[in-house]
Amino acid sequence: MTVTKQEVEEAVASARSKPQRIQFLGALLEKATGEEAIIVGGSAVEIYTSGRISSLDIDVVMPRARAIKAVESWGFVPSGRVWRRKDWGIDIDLVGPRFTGNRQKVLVMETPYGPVRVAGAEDLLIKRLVELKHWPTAPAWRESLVNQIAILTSEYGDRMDEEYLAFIAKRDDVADILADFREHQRGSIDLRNK
Amino acid sequence: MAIHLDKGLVALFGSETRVSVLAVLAGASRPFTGYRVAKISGVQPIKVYSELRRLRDAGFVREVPSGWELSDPQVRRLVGDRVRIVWSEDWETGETERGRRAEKVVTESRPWFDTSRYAPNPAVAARYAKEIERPPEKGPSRKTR
Repeated sequence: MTVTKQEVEEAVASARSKPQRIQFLGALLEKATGEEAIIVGGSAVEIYTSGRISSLDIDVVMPRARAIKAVESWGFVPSGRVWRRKDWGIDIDLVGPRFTGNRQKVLVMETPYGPVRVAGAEDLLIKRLVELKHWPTAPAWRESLVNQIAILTSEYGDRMDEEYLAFIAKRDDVADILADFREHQRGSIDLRNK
Repeated sequence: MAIHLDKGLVALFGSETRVSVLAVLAGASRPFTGYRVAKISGVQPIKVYSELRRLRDAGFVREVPSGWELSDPQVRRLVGDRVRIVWSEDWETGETERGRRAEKVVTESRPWFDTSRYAPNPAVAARYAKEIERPPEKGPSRKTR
């Protein structure tokens, strides 16, 4: 289905927050291409944290060919993997077609422009724990990761699928850091840098 | 574009269409028209209406002037725990409060804890490398060591 530049401009203008703008653009991408668009990465965390964690771009998992055609017709200009509209301050990263998370944990958000999908909180949490424990992360980003993990566990911890979470935590060797993090949040241990 | 359904719910309720309809209504904070249920669930409208009538006759949903809603809170809880569908306007309504709670978590708990006690696993890092590595157009690298 064709989605015009004007429709996209109206959607962007009508969004009441940055997270909602991400949702609308994702939904319009899905509408324009007829293919599933899953918001992942920092932009998914931005939705879950209601903007407390801010992402520089919108990371979307979907087949790229039709998506590229759509975003270019909306005035986005390519820069490597990212499509940019400077006047809106929006970058869209068309990550590719492969969704590495669990589709059953995906949150479906119905917007006035149709549905958009957001990666499950469990997958986002585990990926951040992996980055924190196994990846050589710069200190400033490490602090942001810890904040993201803190918000995801406190806000969504009781709604996560514990069985799935335990499975992927073990698979990705982060069960120890996840358990410690939760204990830290409960106040039973203190893991802060002294 | 169908929802990815929980297999346990499909086994329990005996029909993917039934679970799709229940899932959409379980995530809604207001009545939805049959057309909207069809649009969100990706199920054909004719099948949705037929299922809605069947569920109404069984006492699980009710028809109100503005559409359809779940009438059984236990079914809402059961389905809502396993399938995640929300209406973006409902999400937006809770944004301020959610943002405030997030801010509180960050400022009060300050859980910037020492990660040096954990031994990195290079095999896991390698598996995630493609997802974590940032192309130059996305800004500076977040890698140090």
